[in-house]
Amino acid sequence: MTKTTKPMVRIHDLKSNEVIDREMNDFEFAQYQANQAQAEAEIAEAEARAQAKAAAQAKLAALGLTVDDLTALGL
Amino acid sequence: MTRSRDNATNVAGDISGVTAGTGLSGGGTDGTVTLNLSTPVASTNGGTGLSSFTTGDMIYSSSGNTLAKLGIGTTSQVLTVASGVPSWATPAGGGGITLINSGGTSLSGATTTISSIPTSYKNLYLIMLDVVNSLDDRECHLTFNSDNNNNYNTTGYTTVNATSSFFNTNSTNKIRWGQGTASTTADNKSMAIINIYDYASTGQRIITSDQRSRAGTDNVSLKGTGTYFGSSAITSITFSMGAGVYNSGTAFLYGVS
Repeated sequence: MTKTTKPMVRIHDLKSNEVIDREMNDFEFAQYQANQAQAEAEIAEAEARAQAKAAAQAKLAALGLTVDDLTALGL
Repeated sequence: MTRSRDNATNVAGDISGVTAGTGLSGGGTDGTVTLNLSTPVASTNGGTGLSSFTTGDMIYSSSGNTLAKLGIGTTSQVLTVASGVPSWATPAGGGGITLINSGGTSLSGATTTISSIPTSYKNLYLIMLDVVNSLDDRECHLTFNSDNNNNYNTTGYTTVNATSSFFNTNSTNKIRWGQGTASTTADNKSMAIINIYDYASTGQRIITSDQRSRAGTDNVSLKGTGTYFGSSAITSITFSMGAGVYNSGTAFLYGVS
């Protein structure tokens, strides 16, 4: 039995009304990996931004300031 | 002057005979005289020039003073004009919505593609029902025509509980249509409505998405507007994920006339 090494894809062809489940071909898999890497990078970037924001807010709070205070200063 | 019927001499004012003129038959010079129509009265004389009809026939001028009959059409046909004269025609269909992928397409795997989409409709309308992903809170994507080039834009926002985050992606290789859930609880599964306008054109097309799910303990939704500027009519749609796979769910694809 062949071991599945690549993710499965489903194709529903409306012309024949046939549904095919198969492994990704090499081209699709390369694209899939690139998309996954891109998505993970975007998630990591968003998380890093959120952490930086939280850290900045914590520093403000330690100084007795809020975001509204900075806004009032035009910052 | 007194006249008798045996007076053989006509005098001024007497009618000596009745002659059948054009379209008439009969006539005579004495006794009871009868005239009959031998041909229909012409339209120029106030008639129709027609001698027989079938139920449903209508009379119209086919050319100047020439009248013609228009036979009745078939059920549901309407009277229209073609080449300057009336005729019956089947009315063009009005707007409608047709389920293209009968029974829907079950979502499965890293990608699910609906291919061979006919280009005979005006817009496409997708209903995504009960979608479950393998991972919580991951981006759900759309691509068209297996086009992985940077031909997509998406602007919108996701909302997690009461907090919204805006996103704006220009010239990327996919459109975000939702934010997934791995929950299999019935009322947590992802639901969405996606519209793809003027999909069969080759210009820039607009896509809108409204989606909602419950991921973990969060109520998650996405509202986005995207554009696709690939150079071909959209004939296939691929659903993919930022991470993970589609475990279940159904995509119902409708064509809007």
